[in-house]
Amino acid sequence: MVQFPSLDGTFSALSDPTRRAILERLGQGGATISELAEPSGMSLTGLKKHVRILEEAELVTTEKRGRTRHCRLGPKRLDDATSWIETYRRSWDERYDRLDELIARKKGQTR
Amino acid sequence: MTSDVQEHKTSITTPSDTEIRMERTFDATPEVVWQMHTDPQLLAQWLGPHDNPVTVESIDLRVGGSYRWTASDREGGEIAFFGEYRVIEPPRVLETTFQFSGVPGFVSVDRLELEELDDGRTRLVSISTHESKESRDGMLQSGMEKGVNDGYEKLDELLAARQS
Repeated sequence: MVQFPSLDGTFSALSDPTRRAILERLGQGGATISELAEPSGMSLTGLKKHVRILEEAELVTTEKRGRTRHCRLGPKRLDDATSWIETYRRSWDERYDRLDELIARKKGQTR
Repeated sequence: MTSDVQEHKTSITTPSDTEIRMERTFDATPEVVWQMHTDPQLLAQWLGPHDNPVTVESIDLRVGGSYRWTASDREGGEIAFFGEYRVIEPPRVLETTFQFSGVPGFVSVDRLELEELDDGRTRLVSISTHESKESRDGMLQSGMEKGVNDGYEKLDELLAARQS
């Protein structure tokens, strides 16, 4: 985390399951606020709040067309290279943590 | 439970457009770390998480010999990881090709180097070389996908720890 401080906002935005679901849905194409609210059964007000957080993190952009607000994935996409690398690193870090534990067990040590 | 959730021991860099380099130090000799990478039963114990264990199906540890392990995907299907051993210099260098069933035609060359440190520990350097930047980025993104879909519990813990 230390080497990627700019990702903090991204990760905070992603720390909520509803917001991750929104991003997954938008990954399939743009949608209006009410289209996004439908499957979650969430109120429009509640959903707008989540969209705003995603918007602040630049993960989503919105545009008002007439009476509806359209959402799509923003400039800071999940494919932002530093976040791929951070996630990739994390998955290997977990794997190597297990290797550490195995080494310690083999030595008959307790950590 | 680990208390050092914030501590990152694995460093990762992209030295060129087609490479991923990882480095990590283990509290064991190169011989032990080598064994962990080449003994099927030991490898199976750390390669996959407890909730989605990896089955090491075969390891034919000779140059030109193949290896294969499998895991379940989220839909309950099977993903296979396989390749061939290209360089085997125990306990220092292990180079393999790496492919997986999810992306036909994808292949990287993974080179593992183990260096004995003065204090009896071992520095592991892993360099994964891809055929193109697109292929390399695809590999990094596959981790992202996993992270987005099921890896965020860990992130939540991490964020909670940072905030407290």
